[in-house]
Amino acid sequence: MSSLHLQSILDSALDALVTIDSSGSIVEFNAVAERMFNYQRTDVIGQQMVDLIVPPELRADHAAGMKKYQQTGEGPVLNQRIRITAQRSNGDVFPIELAIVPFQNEGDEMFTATIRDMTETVEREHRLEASIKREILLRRELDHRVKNNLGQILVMCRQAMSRSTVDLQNFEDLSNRVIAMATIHDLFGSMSPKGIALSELVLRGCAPYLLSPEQLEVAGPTLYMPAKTAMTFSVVINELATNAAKHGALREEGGRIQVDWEVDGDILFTWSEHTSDPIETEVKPSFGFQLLDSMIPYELGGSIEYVFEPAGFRFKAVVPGIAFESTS
Amino acid sequence: MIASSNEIVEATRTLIVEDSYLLGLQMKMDLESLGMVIHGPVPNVQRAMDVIEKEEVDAAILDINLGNETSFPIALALMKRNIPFIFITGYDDLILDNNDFRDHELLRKPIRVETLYNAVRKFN
Repeated sequence: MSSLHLQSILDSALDALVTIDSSGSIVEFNAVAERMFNYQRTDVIGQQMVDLIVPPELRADHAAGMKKYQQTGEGPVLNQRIRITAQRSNGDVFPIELAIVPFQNEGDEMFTATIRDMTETVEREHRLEASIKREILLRRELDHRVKNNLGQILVMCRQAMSRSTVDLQNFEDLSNRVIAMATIHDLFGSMSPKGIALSELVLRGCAPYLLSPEQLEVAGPTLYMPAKTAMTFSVVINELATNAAKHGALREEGGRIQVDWEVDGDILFTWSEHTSDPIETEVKPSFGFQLLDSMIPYELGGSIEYVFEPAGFRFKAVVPGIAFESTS
Repeated sequence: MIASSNEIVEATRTLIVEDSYLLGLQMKMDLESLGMVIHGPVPNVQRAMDVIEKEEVDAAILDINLGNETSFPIALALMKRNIPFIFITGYDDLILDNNDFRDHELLRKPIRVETLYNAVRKFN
């Protein structure tokens, strides 16, 4: 084979090819190797390969391996693919796949290494690993959430049954609570990494109870919350809306509800009803009001108050900002 | 059925730590209807510690995951006082690999009233 022919094969190879003689000097360094290690062929021929492309921490191993092979003919790393690291001219160490083949040339023992840059492969592997991890975590979280929901529905059923008057209204309230939980699940599906937007939660939670969309006005800065806080809020919003539909502003077309919030370390959430219709002015003990009373203080560490003003029912909640911080 | 009335153990004053209001409420109602005295439910470590400091507690039910924290500090405080407790969890794959707690029972939610009652009654 002419040396021209040989050179054309070397330079068209898809991998870096580096050949050394028995003293470790480079005798061949193809075009891919030039690009991979950022050396000119003419600058490296005759140089010690180990000093140029083997990372410092692997040089002793390399020397020991060469010596052992020359003494015993044993070379455990020869004739197979191994994963290891190499070093570019600027000192960057990067992952490679390597196969070393020994051969005789004019009485000298030589070695040709086929080297493949594995940087992208390794990055892909890491990305894949991370995405599998994420998927497992997500599935675990989803399982947990589904089971929590079933548990919560179970409690709601048992609460509905334990009330002294078991009637159709209890069942109606129960269905609405389960529907509210289903609604929030729609939001979890399209949830951004930042969480669920409070405005979205209010709009979606109230929608089933509105006689017309104009009845609800929502105002406040963009505010995202983690799933757990959203679950708590969705229960509260459902109780407020169902209460308004039964006793308050959503009983009549002209009724209005204004929902707004301010962020001041804590979140100040206000629900104000405006109605011309006379409304009830006291709380009858009910599971619904028990939820309104307890959910935010218990689960989010906040405080709540409500008043029956002449214009309508008003509910205020102060929720610590930490309940709106992402937990992940 | 659960337990006949003469089996009811009135002396077991049980602390419930559970971050879900509804689940905590239901456990309290269920166990009270069986004659237990319930402290709580409380949703976090700090409020649980307050109860342990101030009240007579004979046993405890600890939900492991309390949102931003776990109930393990409560478990350690209970062990110091020789107060028995069980863990409950909504996570299927959770195992108690912590040596301190390996001997404590772990129930997975949702939990039947009978199971919960029997687990706590053993402590009396």
